[in-house]
Amino acid sequence: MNTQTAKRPMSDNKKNYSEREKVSIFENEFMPHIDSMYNFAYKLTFDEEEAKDLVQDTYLKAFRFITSFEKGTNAKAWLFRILKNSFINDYRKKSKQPAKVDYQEVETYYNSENTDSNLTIDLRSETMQNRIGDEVTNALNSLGVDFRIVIILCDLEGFTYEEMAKILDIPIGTVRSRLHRARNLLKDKLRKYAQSMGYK
Amino acid sequence: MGNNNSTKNDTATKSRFCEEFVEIVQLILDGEATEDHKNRFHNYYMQCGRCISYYNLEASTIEFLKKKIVKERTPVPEDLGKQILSKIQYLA
Repeated sequence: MNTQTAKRPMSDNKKNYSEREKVSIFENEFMPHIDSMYNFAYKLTFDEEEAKDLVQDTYLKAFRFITSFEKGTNAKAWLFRILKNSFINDYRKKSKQPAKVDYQEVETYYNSENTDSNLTIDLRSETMQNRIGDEVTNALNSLGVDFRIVIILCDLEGFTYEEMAKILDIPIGTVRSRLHRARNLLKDKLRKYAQSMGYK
Repeated sequence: MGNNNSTKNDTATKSRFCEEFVEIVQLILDGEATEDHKNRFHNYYMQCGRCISYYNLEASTIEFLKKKIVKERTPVPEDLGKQILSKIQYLA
């Protein structure tokens, strides 16, 4: 038993903010991230109303638990973590469309031979970029939710691996490998699309 | 050069590039590489033509995907911020 932990009262980690401070933190540190929060929610739910509800619920939870947040620290990562947990625990369960199972994609990825050589697509030509551009969103949206989340966090929101690890509650090594797999799946979908359009 | 370490099993030998190289490329492109990674990358892997080609291809692909994904931002509904702030007034 860790005596230090045992002796430490629970309230040690809670901040004693006045009501005025709470509102100030909320308005100045939380609200500026509403654009990113909504985009994250929309890319998880694919539905404007559900995304709005998810963002509202997240902000209300954030206010309720504001004493767990240390003023001036990484509010965006803290909010994203709440939103991700709300989505996994509440929204995904009641969603009309069940979330895609990732295992199948993982299996396909591991069973493919020439792991890296298969997953290369040359997007350097402008023609190819223009042709394939519109398909990127479809390809991203068709990924399993765990893979979609890492791409959104890294490529859309620019979170570091360390921040992503905290948001997702997974080790940094898992963030790195999941991101690698997600991008390979994305490239594979785009490569197949390019082939169907007559490109090699 | 890039496949020197790929001798562990059949899958690894079939792979064009070793795991370390592919990992370092990803870390560099995501801005997560340490000085050790960067030194290894420049002093070892960038002496190999095939590794350079792979890196260039991967860099342009990731850059393209990032640009496309960033462009797909959805505008926030105008009233959402106001709705949230009004609900907070009741809780505060």
